[in-house]
This record gives sequence, C-alpha cells and structure tokens, in this order.
Amino acid sequence: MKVFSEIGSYFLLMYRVFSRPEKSRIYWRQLLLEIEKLGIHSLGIVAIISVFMGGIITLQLTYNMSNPLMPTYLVGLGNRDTLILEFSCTVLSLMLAGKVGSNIASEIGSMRVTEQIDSLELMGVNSASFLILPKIIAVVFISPILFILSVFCGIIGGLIAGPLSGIVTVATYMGGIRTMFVPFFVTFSIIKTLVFGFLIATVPAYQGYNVQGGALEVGRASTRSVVNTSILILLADLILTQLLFK
Amino acid sequence: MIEIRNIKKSFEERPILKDISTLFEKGKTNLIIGQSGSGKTVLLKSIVRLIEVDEGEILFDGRDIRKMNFKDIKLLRQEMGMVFQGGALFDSLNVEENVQFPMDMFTTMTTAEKSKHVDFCLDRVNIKGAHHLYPSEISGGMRKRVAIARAIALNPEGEKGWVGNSTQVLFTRNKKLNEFVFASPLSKRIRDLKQREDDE
Repeated sequence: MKVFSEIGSYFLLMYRVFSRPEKSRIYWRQLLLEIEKLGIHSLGIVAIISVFMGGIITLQLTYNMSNPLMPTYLVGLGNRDTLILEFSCTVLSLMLAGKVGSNIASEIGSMRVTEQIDSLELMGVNSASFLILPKIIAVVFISPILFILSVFCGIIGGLIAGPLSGIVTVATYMGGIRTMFVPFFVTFSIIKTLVFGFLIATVPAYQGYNVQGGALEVGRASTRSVVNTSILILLADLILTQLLFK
Repeated sequence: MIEIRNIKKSFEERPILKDISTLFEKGKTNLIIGQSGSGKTVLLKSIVRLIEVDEGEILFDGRDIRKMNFKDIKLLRQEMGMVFQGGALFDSLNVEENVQFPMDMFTTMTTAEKSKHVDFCLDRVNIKGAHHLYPSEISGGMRKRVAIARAIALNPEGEKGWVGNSTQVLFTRNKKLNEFVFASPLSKRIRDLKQREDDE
C-alpha cells in the first residue's frame, strides 16, 4: 500500500509543480541558474567519462573481434552504435542520477528541514513549482545536449584508443563510424534522454520535498533518490526500447 | 481575528493538539507558552495550514482555512508574516535579496523602489552594512532580524494580518504593526523586545 501512496503523492506533487507560475520572469532567472548548476557543471565529468568509455568499448571490440573473417571497420561501427543506443543515454543518465539527482534531493531536502520551503509557502509562493519546475526544465533541456556531447567524446576516445591497439587504423575506424548509420537511433536515444531527464529531476525532487526530520533524513533521501531514479531509468529504458523498436 | 475551534492533531497515534479552542483578537499581542515539545510549533503551523489538522475549524475573519483551495490559501498567506525558529532565510540569496524576494514575487516595483524599500525594512530591524552578506555569514540573531525584515517587506505598516514565530522569540508588535503576534516561551529575549518596543 505504501508504494501506491508514494506514487499518488508523486503525482500530486507533479500537479502542483506544473501549475501556473506566479511570476514568469523570476522562474526564467531560476531556470538559467539551474541550467548552469545542473547542466553546465556536468559537462566536464560527462566528457571525461565518455572519452574513457569510448576508448574502453573500442578496445574491447578490437580484442574480441580480432577475427580475419570480420572486417575491422566494425570496431568503429560497434563503438558508435553502443554509444548512441545505450551508453550515452542510459549509462550516462545513471551517472547523472547520482550527480544531479543527489544534488537536487539534498538541496530541496535541506530547504525542507530548515523551513525554507515553509517560508516560501507562507509568502504565498507555490514552493513546489518555484523550486522544482526550473530544475525539471533545466535537466530535460540539457540532457540531449549532454547525450550529443557524450557520443562525440566517446567516438574521440575510440579514435585515440583504437589505433593505439595496433589492430584498427584511423581510416578504418572512421570508415566504420560512417558505415550503416541509422538516424532513427539518434532520435530514439534523444527520446530516452528526455524521459530519463524528467526522472532524474522529479524523483529526487519528490524525495527531497518530502523529507521529514533533520540532516540524517536528508542524507537518506538523497541515497533513496539515487537508487529509485536508477531503477526507474532502467525500467523506462526497457519499456521505451520495447515500444520504439517494435 | 483568528478563531480556532476544537482542533486536534496526532502524529502516528500520538496526540499533540488535543481539542484546542481559542480566539486571537485583532490588535492584541498573544503569547503561546509551553514546555518544549508541547506542540506550540504544531499549533502555529496548523493555524496557517502548513500542517493539516485532523479535526476542527480555523477561521480567519470567519473564513475557514481548512476549506480553502490552494489558490485561496496562497492569497490569504500573502497577508501574513511569519518568522521561523532559525529564520529560514534562503541560503542561495544574500541579505538584500532575501528581503527583496517577496517584492520580486508579488509587486511591480522598480529596482530602485525595491532597493529603497529593502533599506527601509533592514533599517527597521537595525541591520546596517550587511546587504551583501549571505545567511551563513551573519549571526543567528541577525538572521532572525533579517527574517523579520523579510516578513514585513510587503506589509511594513502592518495593515494586514501578522503571525509570528513559534518556538523562539517572536517579533512583537511594532507600534505600527497593530496586528497579531504569537510567541512562545517567556524568554528574556521576548521581554527585551517588548521593552524596546514599549520604549519606542
């Protein structure tokens, strides 16, 4: 029963979040701050992880496909499609659920326990909308950009690691990158990142908004938000893959 | 006038508010006094519906806040001011921005007007030269005074309702803030504040 109660509370919170803002100019300012805090500040970690993952995927493909019957350009192709289809959207979203999700849950949770949210409510401000809506828009907006950056960096990582292995050349790798490109894969992954972005913003926000107690509970809410968001991302991945590839 | 009729509130089967009825009349200073953990904060938060009570009526000039929808509650709350125990200042905003926040949200004042009004409000609580400091950079007492300045920002002359803080000092009435103020323990600080106010 508790699960249904939580789901109900989540949707009630979302109803409040998506109500009409009191003053759109203030929300706009908040949105820009959130884009900077949640998005721009994630660019570095996304780029670093993607370069390494692209390199590792390429090396794994290179060593596991060293068969004379298999053309070596498949290494580039495999790296590209792995990045586009799963790594740069799903795995990256799992990583963002940790970085961005815990940030959102702890920030809103701290505001709850220090009565800042009550203070907003007392002023007549819709605290749910004021605090959560800019975060949702920021994360949903920035997620596809991070996805594209991640694919690009992953391919660069492969380009560095592949030729270093001595099995695949730069020209062959690049040839593989350009072979059998399916534009729908990108569309599919962008749809996924939008859904994942929504989950990354809303689930931790829900956990933080409903914190009761003190610092310990804020920590627990932060942990819970990362776990729940990760599970929901994987569940959404399964459902979207089934729906969109049917 | 705020009238409370037979309100009850329990947390996990533990009754906190047991059939409380009282009347807070306009223009009178009211103190809510009690032991730590006796439910003063719960009562105050219940009055403004930050906590939902289990039973009873809470009437603001005859309007039952428990029967109001979200929109009406928002409008009613804009007539209130409340200072929380720790001040509840927004960590991400400096002193000036904290006091200016209600004006940003609910007025069409120009930047110059808001700035002047912020100075006025901060001056009333005797805060000088701290406009650009963040809550973490000022003392607890100053935080509380900034919170008072923020609470009166939309209503500096006290034409509208005014509710104070629960468990610690609550700002008492200024001679111009002729509305309700609730406070809790009979601390020395309350007496000092009242004394200061009376002296004014």
